[in-house]
Amino acid sequence: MTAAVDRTRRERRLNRRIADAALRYLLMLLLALGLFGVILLLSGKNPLHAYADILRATLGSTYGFSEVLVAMTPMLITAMAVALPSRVGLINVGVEGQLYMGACLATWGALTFIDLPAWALLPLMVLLGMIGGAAWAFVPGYLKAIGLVNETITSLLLNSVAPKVVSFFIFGFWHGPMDTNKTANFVSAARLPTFFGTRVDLSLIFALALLVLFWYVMRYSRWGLEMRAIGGNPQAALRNGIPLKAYQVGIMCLGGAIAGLAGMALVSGYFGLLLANFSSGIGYMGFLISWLSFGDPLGVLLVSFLVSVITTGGNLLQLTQGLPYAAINILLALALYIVLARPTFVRGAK
Amino acid sequence: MHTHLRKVFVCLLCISLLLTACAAPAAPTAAPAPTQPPAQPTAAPAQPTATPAEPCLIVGALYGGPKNDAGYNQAMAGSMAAMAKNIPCVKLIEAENVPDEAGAKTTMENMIRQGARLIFATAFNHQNPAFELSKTYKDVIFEHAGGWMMSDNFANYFGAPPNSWYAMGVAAGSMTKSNKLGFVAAFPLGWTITFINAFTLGARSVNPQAQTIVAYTFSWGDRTKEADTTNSLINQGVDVITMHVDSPSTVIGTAESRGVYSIGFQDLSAQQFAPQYWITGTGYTLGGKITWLTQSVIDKTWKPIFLRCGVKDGCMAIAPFGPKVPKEVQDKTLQAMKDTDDGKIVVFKGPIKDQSGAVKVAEGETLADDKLGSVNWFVEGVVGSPK
Repeated sequence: MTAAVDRTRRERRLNRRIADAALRYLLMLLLALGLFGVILLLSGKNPLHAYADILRATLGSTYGFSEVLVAMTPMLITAMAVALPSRVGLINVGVEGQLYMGACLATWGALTFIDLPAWALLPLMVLLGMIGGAAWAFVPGYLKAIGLVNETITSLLLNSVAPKVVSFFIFGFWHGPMDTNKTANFVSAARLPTFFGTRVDLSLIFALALLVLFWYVMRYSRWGLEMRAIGGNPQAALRNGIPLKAYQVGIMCLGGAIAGLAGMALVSGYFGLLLANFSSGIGYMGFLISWLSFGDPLGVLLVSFLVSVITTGGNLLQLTQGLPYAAINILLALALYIVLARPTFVRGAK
Repeated sequence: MHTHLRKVFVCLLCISLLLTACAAPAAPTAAPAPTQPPAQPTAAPAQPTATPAEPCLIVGALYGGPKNDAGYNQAMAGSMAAMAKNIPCVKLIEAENVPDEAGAKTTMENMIRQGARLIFATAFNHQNPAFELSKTYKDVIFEHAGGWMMSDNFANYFGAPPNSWYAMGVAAGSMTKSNKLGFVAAFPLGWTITFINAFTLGARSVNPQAQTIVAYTFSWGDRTKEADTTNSLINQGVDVITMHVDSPSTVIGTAESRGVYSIGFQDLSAQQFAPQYWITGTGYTLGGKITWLTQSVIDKTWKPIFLRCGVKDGCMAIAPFGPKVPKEVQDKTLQAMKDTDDGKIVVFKGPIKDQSGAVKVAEGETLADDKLGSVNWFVEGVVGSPK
């Protein structure tokens, strides 16, 4: 009896939290749009037309919405790769590099085992991608655990090494005769399946599953509890018998593995080939999203959605309103600033 | 303490985002035109969607970088603007900083949704996605700058830079004192290698001692790396520098500040960055051909052709010479340009040896035009790796 009451109360509280968060982000979005509207007005454009264009291009059609999901998927995964280590107090700035290494190893799988059927090849590529990312993250994780170097610095510096490694393999071994800065198109067995004739692929399911799993583990499992303990006070956690070093190395590697999965998803789903310098900062975007949403799964989902709507819809502004590309960056930065400032429209918002 | 650190971190990232937004040279949004009064939303001037006359054709053009980079993208955008001026009934919709490969698909689909029936895809990595879309949208014509794929509704166009590069090499080879020429390249692509080879052959035709030292930045537009690479080439004793990256401004500006000669490529406006040590440069002036292609689409006479055109067709031009270039060097350069255009000099005519001394093009043979995009060896006299 009490358990049932408890449950309904908890459900109600969760529902209210979701509604609060959604309302909060909606108001923040409106504020950002208001400010950007002023900029549009100053440059002689009609903001209402511009926003109507953005909405029509993103949420107004199945195609537009599918493109938003396509843009959102890698952001979700890379944000998870930051959010997880942040729970034990590790700052993983190295997602970009881990993503490249994951993509690199997954590509090796795709180009080597071309005769495998999809049901064997795709899991293999996922595994390889995760190993690639984890191996790249092991370096900063281990150096941190033995108390040698701060992981923020090492993971960041490794970001500029990983694209070089990818370029080495592309230009050295994997390129085609004319297209020397990319591999040949992957065989269809190495491509993630897509849904309903859109470009939304299986990695969206990966991303959402990861999100739920992350939320569940952090909330209900012993690991989650221990990780929160480490994040709160590492020394106290250590004295309570929690294996601090093992957690630091393990969680960093796990974060790297998730980033590697994002790399695998990009080459296997989105691109269908490996291209030199393919990422254009998706790893950094994931970092930004994760920290803006305080590593909260729901926040990650909302902020990534917001960013994807702006980037996909914003690109259209060039075509319909003749705005330069820089305008989209300004809108994005405004939106992120306001999310950062977290104005307290709603009671309980921090 | 942690939240503070976090806020500072995110703040920095946001600032960097804003900075990249403003980093594009003279981004128009950063400085709204002072002449325009802040209009009321209702009183805003007629939107493009409400233009009275139906356009005779909607043309989409996409660029890989910013339109005002004084380099490749500016050259491409300039030729589009020339076309739009020549054919006033055309409505031109443009997108800059369009990402590579799969990322460009969204932009092109959006253009088609806006009614575009002719699309100019101008970045190297736009070819695959454009070709794939051309299979889906049979009623849309795609033109790619510098590609090689062809189909019923997909063709390509470009200037023919090897001849101009040969002439640039003649100028560089005549001006150098140290006999070391520097070449900053983005990627070891087939075309880039062909440009370097033509440049070196030109230089060695007037100065057999000349060497070209090649260094890559592995990016079309990384200004920090371009400056670093330029400086390290100059530190090795290079006294003439040129480049194949999107925007020549950084390389040329850095060379100018070190008092080293430079040769421009992509857009003729690069000269503004080197008032003193500019030798000359070559750039794309494709406006005429773009106009012709667009008109043929309007007239429904368009056919897929593999279009390459040089200086004499008006597709490429030679920039004015700098103040320190002697008259005889100017004459020699212009003569080389004329001879290559007339066919008196064939740039890739054998015998041509590669770096190891092996004969790559035998006596009496010529490297075919369709092979130039996939060259993977450097001619004798180039220092660097073609990989």
